[in-house]
Amino acid sequence: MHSGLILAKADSRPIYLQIIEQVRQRIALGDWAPGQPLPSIRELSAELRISVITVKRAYLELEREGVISTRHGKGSVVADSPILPDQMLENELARHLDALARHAVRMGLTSGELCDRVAAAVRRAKEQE
Amino acid sequence: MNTILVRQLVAKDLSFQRMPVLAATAAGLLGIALQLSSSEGAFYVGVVLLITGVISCGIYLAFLTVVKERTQGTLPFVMSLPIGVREYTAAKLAANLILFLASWSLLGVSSAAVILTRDSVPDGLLPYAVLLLLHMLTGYALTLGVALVAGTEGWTIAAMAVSNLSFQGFLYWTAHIDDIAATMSGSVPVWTGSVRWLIAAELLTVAVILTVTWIWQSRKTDFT
Amino acid sequence: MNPIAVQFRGVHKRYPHFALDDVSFDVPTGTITGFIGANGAGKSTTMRILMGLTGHDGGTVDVLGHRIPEHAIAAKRQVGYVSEDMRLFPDATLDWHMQFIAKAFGHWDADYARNLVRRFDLQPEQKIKGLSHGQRIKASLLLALARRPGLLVLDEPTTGLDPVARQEVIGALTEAMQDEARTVLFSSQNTLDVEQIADRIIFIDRGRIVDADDKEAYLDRWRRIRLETPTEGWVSHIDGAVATTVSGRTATITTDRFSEAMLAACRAAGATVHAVDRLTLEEIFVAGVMARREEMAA
Repeated sequence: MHSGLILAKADSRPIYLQIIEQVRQRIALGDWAPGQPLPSIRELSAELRISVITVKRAYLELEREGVISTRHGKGSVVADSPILPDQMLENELARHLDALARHAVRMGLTSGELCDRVAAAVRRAKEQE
Repeated sequence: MNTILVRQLVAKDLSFQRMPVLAATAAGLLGIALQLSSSEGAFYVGVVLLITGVISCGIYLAFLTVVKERTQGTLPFVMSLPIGVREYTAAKLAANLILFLASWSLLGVSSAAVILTRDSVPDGLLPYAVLLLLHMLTGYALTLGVALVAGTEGWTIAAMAVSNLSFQGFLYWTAHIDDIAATMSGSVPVWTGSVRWLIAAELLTVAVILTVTWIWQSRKTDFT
Repeated sequence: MNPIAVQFRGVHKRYPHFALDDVSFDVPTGTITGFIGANGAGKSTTMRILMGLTGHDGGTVDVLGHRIPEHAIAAKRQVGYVSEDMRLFPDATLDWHMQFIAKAFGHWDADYARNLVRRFDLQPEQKIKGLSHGQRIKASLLLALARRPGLLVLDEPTTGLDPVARQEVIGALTEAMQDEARTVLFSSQNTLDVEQIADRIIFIDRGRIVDADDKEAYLDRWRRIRLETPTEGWVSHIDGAVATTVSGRTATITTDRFSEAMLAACRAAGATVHAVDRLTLEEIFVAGVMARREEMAA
C-alpha cells in the first residue's frame, strides 16, 4: 500500500515528527478516512527508505494521541474519530472558507445566499454521517 | 567436505589459468622442436627453452592461483563462500597439480621421444632427463606449498629462488655422479642404482611437501 | 528463529599496532544495525572476525546461532558479505559471477537479480575490469542481495557511490527488511546512511565499543545546550556534559545524557538557557571521538 508521504531531507526536524505531521495532515484533509488501514510499519519503512524503528516511533506516538489505532497483529488504521490538533483543523477550515468566499464573489452571490447554501450543505453532511 | 564447491573452484582456476599454462607449454614445445634440429646450438637453445617453459608454468600457476588472489583482493570473495581453509587448499592443490602435471607430462614425454628417436641425442641421456624433470616437479611443489602456507609474494619468490638455485646445483651434481656420468652418453638408457634412489627420493620429497602443506593448512582456523 | 542474529562477547584481537578490546554487542534479528567509527577504529576487523576470515584471540562469536570459527562454514551459507577490500575476478563478467554464486550457494532469486541489474544500472555481459569503482561495489552488493541471505554484513556499502546509486542501495536494504527474519549489519563513514536507515547504532573507537543503543533513543540523548552566562569565562561543571565551550558570555554544552534536570542544573549555576538543539549523527560522532581523544591525552 503506497502512502505517498514525502520526507524533506533539508528539514531539520526529526523524521518521526515529519511522519506524524504528514499523517495528521492526510487525515485532516480527508485523504485518509476513518477506519482506513495505514501501510504496515515495514512497508512504510521500505517505501520511505528509513529505519523500521523510526516508523514504529511515529505510529506509537500517533496511537497515543488517538489519531490512529493499532490492532494487535493486524496493523494500524485511522481512528474512527481521529483526534487532531485543533490548529490543523482550524487552518484547513480557514483555507476552505477563503476558497468558498472567492468562488461566491465570482458567482455574484450575497453573504446571505452563501450562508443559506452553507447551512444546506452542513445538513447534508450530517445526514451522511 | 563440500566436494561440489571444491570442484567448482577447481573448474574456475582451470578456466582462468588456461592461457598462461598454454603459453608456457607452447614455449616448451618450441624448445622440443628446436631439439629436433641437427644444429648443436639450436639443440641447446631448445633444451633451455624447454626447461624455462616447465619452470615458468609452475611459477605462473603458483603465483596466479594463490599469491595473486591475495594481492588483487579476490581472496575475500572466495573466502565469503561457504568453505573453510581445507576446501580452499584442496581446490588449489587439485587445480595446480592438474594443470602443472598436464603440461609437465606432455613436455616430459616429448623430451623422452626426442631423446629416443634422435640419433644425434644419446639414449643414455634419458635417466638424467627424468631426474631433471622430477626435480622441476619438486621445485614446483615447494613453491606451491610455500605460496599456500605463507601467502605472501616475498616467501613465494624465496621458494622459487631456492628451487631454481637447487636446480642448477642438481644439474651439475647428478651429471657428476659416477654411475650416471658413465652411462649418460651411452646409446642405451641405464637405470643405475643412483638413478633409482634419486627418483625415489624426489618422489618422496614431493609427497612430503604436499602432505606437510595439507596438514599445516588444515590446522589453520582462519584465512590469514 | 534466533532473536539475536550476531552476538559478540568479550572479543579480543591483538595486532602489532592495534587491538580490539573486550568487544561485546548484539545484533537483533530483523533489524538494521549501523556500525560507526573513525578509520582504523576496528569496524572492518570486527566484520572479518564475524565472517571467520580473521581469527580472534579471545571471547566468543556467534552468527545466526553458529559458533565462529568452528561452524563458520554453516554460518557463511546464510550470510551475504561485501567489503571494500573485496574484489571480483577482473577477467570474468558479472554474468559469470552471478552463475558462480548461484551454483555455489544454491539460493538465487533470478527475478530479483534482474530487477537489481536494472535498478543498479549494470551490464551483466561487461567484464569486471571494465567497471568503475562504484559499479564494482554495486555488482558485489547485487551478488550478495540476490541470494536473499538471512544476514547481510556490509563494510562501507555506500562509500564511493554517486547519490543515485546510494539511494538504490539504501532502498534495496530497507526493502530487504520487509522480511522480518532478515538482518543487516553495515558500517559507514557516511553517518547520514546510518542516521536514515539504522534501527540500532554501535559506536566503536580505537578497538573498543563506546556506545550501543537504539537509534531514536541515541539521538534523543544527545543535545547541544546554548547558554547565556552571567559573567565572562563562566566555569561550571554540569553533570553529564561531554564538552563545554565558553566564549565571552556564551557557553555551549554538548551532552549525551540530556534531561530536564540538566537544564535545571544550568539555571541553578546561574546561566540562562537560550536554546536546546538536536545533533545530527555526524555531530554526535565527531563530538564523541573528540571527547575521547581529549580524555586519552589528559
